[in-house]
Amino acid sequence: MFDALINGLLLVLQWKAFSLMMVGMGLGFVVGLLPGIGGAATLALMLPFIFKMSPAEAFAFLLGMHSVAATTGDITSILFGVPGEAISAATVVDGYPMAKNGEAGRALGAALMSSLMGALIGALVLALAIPIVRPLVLSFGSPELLMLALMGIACITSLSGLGARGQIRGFAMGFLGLLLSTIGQERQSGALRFDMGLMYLWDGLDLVPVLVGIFAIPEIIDLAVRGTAIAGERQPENLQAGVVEGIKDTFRHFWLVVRCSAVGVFIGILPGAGGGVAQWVAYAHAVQSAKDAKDRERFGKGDIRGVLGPGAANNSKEGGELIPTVAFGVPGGGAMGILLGGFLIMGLTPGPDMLTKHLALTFSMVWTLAIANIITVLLCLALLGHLAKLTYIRGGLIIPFVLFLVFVGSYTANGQIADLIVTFIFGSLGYLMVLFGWPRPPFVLGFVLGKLVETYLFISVSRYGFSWLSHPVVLVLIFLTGLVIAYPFIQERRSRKREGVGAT
Amino acid sequence: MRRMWVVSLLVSFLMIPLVASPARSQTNFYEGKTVTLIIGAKGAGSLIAATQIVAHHLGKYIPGKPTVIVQEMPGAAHLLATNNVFNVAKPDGLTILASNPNVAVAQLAKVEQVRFDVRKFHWLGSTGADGVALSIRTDLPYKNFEDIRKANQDLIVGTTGPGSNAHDFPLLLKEFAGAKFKLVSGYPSNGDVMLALQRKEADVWAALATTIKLAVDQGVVRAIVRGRVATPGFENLPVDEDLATSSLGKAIMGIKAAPLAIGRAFAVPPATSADRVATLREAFAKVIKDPEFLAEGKKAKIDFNYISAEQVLKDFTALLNQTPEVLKEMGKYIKLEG
Repeated sequence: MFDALINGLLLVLQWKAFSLMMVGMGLGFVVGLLPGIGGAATLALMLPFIFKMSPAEAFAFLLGMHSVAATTGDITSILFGVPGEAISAATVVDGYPMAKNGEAGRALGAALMSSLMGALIGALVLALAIPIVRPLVLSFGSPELLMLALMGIACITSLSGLGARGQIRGFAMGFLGLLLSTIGQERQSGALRFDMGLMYLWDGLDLVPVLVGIFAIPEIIDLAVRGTAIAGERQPENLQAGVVEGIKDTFRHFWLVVRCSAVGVFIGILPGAGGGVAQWVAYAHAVQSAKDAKDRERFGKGDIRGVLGPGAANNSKEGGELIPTVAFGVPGGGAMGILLGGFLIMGLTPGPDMLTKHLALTFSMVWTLAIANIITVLLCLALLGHLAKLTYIRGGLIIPFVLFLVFVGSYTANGQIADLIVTFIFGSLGYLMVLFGWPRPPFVLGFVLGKLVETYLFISVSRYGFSWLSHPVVLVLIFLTGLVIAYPFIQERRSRKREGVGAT
Repeated sequence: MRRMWVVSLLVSFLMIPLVASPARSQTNFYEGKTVTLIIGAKGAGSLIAATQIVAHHLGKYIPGKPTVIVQEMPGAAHLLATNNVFNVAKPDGLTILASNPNVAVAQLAKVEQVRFDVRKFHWLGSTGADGVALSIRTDLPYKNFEDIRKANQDLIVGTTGPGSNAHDFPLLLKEFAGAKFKLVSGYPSNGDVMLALQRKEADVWAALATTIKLAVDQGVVRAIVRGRVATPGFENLPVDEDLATSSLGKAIMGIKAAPLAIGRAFAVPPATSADRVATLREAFAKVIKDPEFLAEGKKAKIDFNYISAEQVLKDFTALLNQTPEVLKEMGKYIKLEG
């Protein structure tokens, strides 16, 4: 196995593969920045180019592009509050408020460094997991996947405000998200639900227009109302120092970054869960790491940990997602599905062969993930200071640009005008939510997890009756889910006790 | 004053292409143009891979050597793309539909959203038929279909949902051939079903023959029954239509088999001029014989065989010609894929 590891590295370092990787990285950089034009759509566009490449070159190109898009997607999330990629939405929640506080440089530095750490940890886990990958994935059947999805939903307690009111609002929004995820054709019987007679809704609401609308539009309205630059009336501070501060923050909260990377990898490994989930669970975990209730209040207003968590998770999940894709041919997420198309064109069959005969190629993918991210972050660090200056441009100048990004972004996801209408509708909904204090992250989590929960619940009950509740892994997960739900309340109790002790 | 000069100079430069193009179009229509193959699917799959390979080589055989690209237009089980090419796309020979012939079944079932008639498209031909096969886990004792009929408990069939081969093929075998199946549907993709098989969560799996062949080669499953189209390696398997115990069952299985026999067909909108259609048909017939094209198909494990435009149209017309009784019963078993 060690030879394969070294051979994999040599495959990537060949000049042709390496230069193709750099080209891919350049593309990925731009694609990540532009909202909506997502990694998945661009991967599909790039497929025709890989015909003439060898497998190592093709995957260096595709993965170089894809992993960099995950890193730079955070940039527009922080600067403008517009998610650069569907997987970068969680970074908006704390990243954009930081930009509004004049801390854009710090947020960018933190996001990039945590992305790099996440990517490296993801690549490392992928490499280490290769011997045990098949038994690992095989031990997660539909009931286990259902419990994991439910655990994801349980994270809503951590994403909502404290106190009865906060929790009720959080769950209400979570259930709204679940409800909206049922729009479209039901997988089990083919019946159409809530499609309002429109063919557009047959496949359900697409994630990108919803996300871009619900996060970006309220921020744009807010910006227009304030009439200032994104960073307010401040004078530009020393932005490069901010970036360095952000990098230092990543190491100050090192274990949080490691834990969120682990979350990202694990969720990536689950077939079908996808990046939409990993970032929110990581964010919820970051919130849970708050020391007490007062510390928790800082999330959503510009806490650096809210940027570090999702930043790490959405890169580490890249490594995680490759595991089921390469070992079983089951795409870990949307973009992986396209990568599978690449496998087909190359004449490779995902499965045991990739872990034995073609192990060097599999390792070359691991190395691509690591090297592409290292190079990108190093190159970006110089740019970040300048990018942060954008938050000091007058609102009147920047709003049309951001609006353009928003609408182009949501249109290019599928090339359908109806997506723009969806963006507008959810933008209005998002605005009302912000105005009246109803949290948006639980909504997104419910929306993203809804289909998964329904699918796996149906399959579990259909296949096992109710006996699946007694499967060992399921029982462990039920216990963990209970913990996740209870955590904020335990936290509150503990801080109250501490205050009580302090008072006496 | 100077600014006016600069502006007018710029504007006149911009006018040049507008003036130049009418002259160019007399010589060769396709030169410098882009031909778009529209496909109603997204992501991975043999249909997309096959279309990519066609796009890679088709330009060589169209006079003027245009660029050929693939545009994904997913939605409503290929209906969106089919509707688009039939009604919206300009009939200038620059837009080609990479169709999934199952849309003809939607037309037969008189689905409300169907806004095309497969018989009115100008078909260019097909790159080859697809077979379907039903397979069972290798560690189970059932060796052939008779064993499945006599099984003492229901075998679990993992499917991706009504409308897919994974669902309909076993469903028809259950209803009309007496197979002891319990369908568990909703798996997100065929890959997930194969994973479920390896976890012993499911026992039986049906899919396109090329997909099943890959699993057979890996030793995960053995193939038991096939559809009408014989594919290499599966020729000796019993055909589902022969196992049906009633003529109604056989007819409905036939309806499901017909689109697969038509395979990966390409078409242009009805209003396209005859000479453009002829150019494209010729290019299509030639590309299928191209050795590089066939080599790439072999690499991707896709079998390319030429089916002429006339044959495609004939098969579609035959498919749409069904008795009222069959039409009535069909709705119970055939739905659109999600």
